[in-house]
Amino acid sequence: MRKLPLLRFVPGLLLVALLSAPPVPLRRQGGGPLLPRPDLLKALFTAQKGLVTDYFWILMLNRIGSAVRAEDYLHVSDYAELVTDLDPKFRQPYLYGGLTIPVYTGKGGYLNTAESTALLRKGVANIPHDQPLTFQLAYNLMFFERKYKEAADLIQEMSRWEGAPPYYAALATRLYAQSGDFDASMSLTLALRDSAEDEESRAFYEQRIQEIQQERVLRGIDAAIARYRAREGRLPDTLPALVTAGDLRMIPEDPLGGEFFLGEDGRAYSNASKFRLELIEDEKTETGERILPKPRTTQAP
Amino acid sequence: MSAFSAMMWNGFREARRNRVTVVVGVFAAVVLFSSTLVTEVTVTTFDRVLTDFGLGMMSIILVFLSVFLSSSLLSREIERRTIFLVVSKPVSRTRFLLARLAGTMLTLGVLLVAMTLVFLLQLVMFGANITSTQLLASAGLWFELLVISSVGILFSSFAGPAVSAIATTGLYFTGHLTGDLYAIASRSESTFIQVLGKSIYYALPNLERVNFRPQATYALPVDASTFLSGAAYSVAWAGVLIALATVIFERRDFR
Repeated sequence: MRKLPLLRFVPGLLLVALLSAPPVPLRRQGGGPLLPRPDLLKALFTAQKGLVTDYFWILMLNRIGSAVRAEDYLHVSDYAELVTDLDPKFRQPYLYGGLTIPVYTGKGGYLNTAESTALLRKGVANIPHDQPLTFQLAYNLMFFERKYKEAADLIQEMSRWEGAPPYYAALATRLYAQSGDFDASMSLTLALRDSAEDEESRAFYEQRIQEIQQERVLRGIDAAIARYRAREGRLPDTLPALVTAGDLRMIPEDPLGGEFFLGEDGRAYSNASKFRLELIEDEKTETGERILPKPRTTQAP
Repeated sequence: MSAFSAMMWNGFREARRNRVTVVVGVFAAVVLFSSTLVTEVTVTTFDRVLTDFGLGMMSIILVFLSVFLSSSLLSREIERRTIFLVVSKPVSRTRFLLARLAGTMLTLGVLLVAMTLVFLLQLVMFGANITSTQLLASAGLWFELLVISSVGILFSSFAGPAVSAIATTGLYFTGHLTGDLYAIASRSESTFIQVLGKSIYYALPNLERVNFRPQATYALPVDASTFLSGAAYSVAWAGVLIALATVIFERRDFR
């Protein structure tokens, strides 16, 4: 009889054991995590804002840790949005989110880049003059969004900040050239050359001025190639073919003293420079050899 | 020992004997130390997380305890009929109420100091920075608790413990949102809404004046004038609330 009271727990415990299951994360329509609205959290936990923010920050970190698919990384941005809405001055969620949300899909393709850039934009707006955050945004703009002008503006601004590495200014000139804003690129380079404090820097920017002039000429030849291709439905075999076809009055002179040629990819190059004045993606062959622009070869019919 | 300090110590001893206080104290120690676990699941932000969890937990636990202690303060006396002993003595009801508030604040103060020590110990253990703002945030919490306890005593002077606790909790949340109310009202195009919003703001205590936890998160300095004006503002509000409580309490008939 003494053991009888213990028996009272048996049905309940059996039912609990039977019905227990791991937690099922709530999902909103569209598949993302169902998170509380930041305004509600702000109103309820004004006195505990730091505590609540850190709770969701820890959840965000664990999301990053457990993410496997591109979709999982995309959901990290939901947490990052919430955390940064709760505390817009909290730097790490912008940085960690911005870095981890994009997923490489191979062959130069990335997913979730828009979410990463949006988060970094929000970060830069809320925490201005933060070097790693601003550089990460510029990186996204360069490599994911291909918004070279905006990236150049950011890098140029950063080059004026205290302790900025000297290559920022040089990178800005390259980005301006890539964006097609040769005037901005040239005026920045001229200013940098004139304010250079040592011979080496002055020589570097002198060379950059010629590279900008060369890139401007190469863009002109690229436009002529595009016109030829649109009309003929194929690439010209050589650059002189553009002159013969009337797309180019003459082969222009290379400001760096080299000779222009038509590359394998249908763009114009100069043998005086290894690469064009644009972001170099450092592509390599399977054997690890660096891929350099090569002249286009055509097989005889 | 004067009648006031006797009643204050009695209140402290009573709170200490109260199992809820003991449980809350033990719980606070466990929770504060369990913040250690939180650092296991985070990266680079240890200082921030430790500060937020430590100060946040202290605040939640002590606010809960202050609501519990203050809102049931008078009703317990009435329920146990001990109030008759007090009112029959040559002690004014105002002094009795002030002594009970002092007892409650002593209890909360002792717990706050103990929790702050645990919190600081934890920071030392993790090699995290100890900043003056963390200590000011902890001190600011005591003034916040003073206002909350005064509100609790005010409600308990005319209402039962449940109603007092609910109303005090409501005022705690409202007290942290009055700043937003002011800002929203200021942006309104209607003069009526502006006046109404600002009137409500000035009619309620703004508990954010002594909430230095956000500054502690970022180790931002808090100047002495900000802290002292916030502390004086809280004492002033406590004075108003207790004065109101004494007026109600003095007119109350216990038969």
